[in-house]
Amino acid sequence: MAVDTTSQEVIEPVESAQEEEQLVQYSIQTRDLSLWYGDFQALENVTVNIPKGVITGLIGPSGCGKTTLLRCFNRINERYGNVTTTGEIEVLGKNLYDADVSVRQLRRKIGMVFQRPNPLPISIYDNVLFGMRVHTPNRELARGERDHLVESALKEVKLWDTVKDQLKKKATLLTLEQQQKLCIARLLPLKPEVILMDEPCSALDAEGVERIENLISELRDDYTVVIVTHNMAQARRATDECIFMLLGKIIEHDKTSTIFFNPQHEQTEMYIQGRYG
Amino acid sequence: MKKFDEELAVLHKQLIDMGSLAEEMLTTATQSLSNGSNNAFEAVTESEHNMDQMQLDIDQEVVRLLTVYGPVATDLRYLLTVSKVTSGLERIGDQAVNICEAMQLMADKGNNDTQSQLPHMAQLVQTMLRQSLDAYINKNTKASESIMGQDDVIDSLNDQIARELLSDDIVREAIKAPQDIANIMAQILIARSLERIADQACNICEEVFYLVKGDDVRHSEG
Repeated sequence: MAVDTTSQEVIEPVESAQEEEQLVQYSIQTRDLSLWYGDFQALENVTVNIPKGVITGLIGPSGCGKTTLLRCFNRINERYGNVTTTGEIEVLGKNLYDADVSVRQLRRKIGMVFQRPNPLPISIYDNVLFGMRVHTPNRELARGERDHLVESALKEVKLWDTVKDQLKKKATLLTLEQQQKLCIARLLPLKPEVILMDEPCSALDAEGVERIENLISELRDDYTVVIVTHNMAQARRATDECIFMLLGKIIEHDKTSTIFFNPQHEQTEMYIQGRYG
Repeated sequence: MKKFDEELAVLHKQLIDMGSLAEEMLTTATQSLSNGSNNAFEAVTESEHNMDQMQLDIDQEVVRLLTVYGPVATDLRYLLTVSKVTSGLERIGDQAVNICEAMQLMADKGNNDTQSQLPHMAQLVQTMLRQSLDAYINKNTKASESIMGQDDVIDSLNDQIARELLSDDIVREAIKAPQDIANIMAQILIARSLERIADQACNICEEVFYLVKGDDVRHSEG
């Protein structure tokens, strides 16, 4: 499958009523998605529908393909080279591999938060505006507009009260929890519809985990959040739906309460009980 | 997980012991219906105290396992059902004591005669209880369904026994002898206790569905 990084067109909303209805239901859909790193098959015929406005957890033992699947949703896997992908991935009603899809615009709609917070070594203020400046290089924002974007994003991640008097401080001097919140805040001025999170709490202490989980919970409804986690207690607390993966396949996808109370597959049960993986 | 599995096995053994004691209490209490003796009261009363302690111990262990291990899926459903089954068994113990008290009333009044259907009903209820415990231990939903179907037979027997004991002929005769009135009342109370034990056996069967399938079949028709 060819990777097109040249087109700059924005992903436009699909017009037909049928597809519009589909948009309302699902933010991300894959059909028979397979992926190879060289000869190694990391995903095998993955078909999944991730609903809009809910928090979906990707769970499974190490090497099961959950991070690979997450990285398919914004085509970031392609950066690693020697990757072959087959099947379909639709995000916000658009096939990611259509010729008119711009990867840059795609990533504006689909933000990503990584395991280790990765703020840029610039001020808190400039970190929040960084994505906006990259994605709209020709648009000079007025001072008031910039201030508003920064305040609004930092308020949304509950960081404003802590840093409002030190916006020029270097972001790398913040605590890890504050850095992770900043990384989430950095996505918000771009008005993403989907936020992908790869173990976003694994570098944090217990209190930091709780506050980031609370924040993730508040993103529900406004954003579709997909979160990879090894932490079963976190998956139970912080997600609405869970997808259990094993050896590159989806074994089970259901409401979190069902997955943890009455899973339909023995492999899921063994894993969530801690008897496997 | 090995430790958790081992602790679950210990709990399971405690539950089986409690079930066995409930069966034993019912058997002891109802034996006198067939042989006319009245020596069960003390033994059943003592067992009832043991039963209460077993319920407290098992429930305490359930809470500990839930707290310490935060179990999910079948393990979680199992612990939830254990607590309900112990509650049912404890009530069965109470009913066994009630049967003994009714027998005592009959003995005190010098009339141990029983209606012919009562020992038969007791036998059926004993079988239901044993089968319901087996179904729970073996996680057998098919057997549970079959046992629950027998509850209608027990209800009918209870109605039939009460109707016959309260028939005009028997009441007319009883009025002449106060000891006969006590005997009739005691038999009606025994039949009602047996009917309630059968209900508890059905409740145990309902828990089998919850344990195996996660289905809550309580209060569902058919």
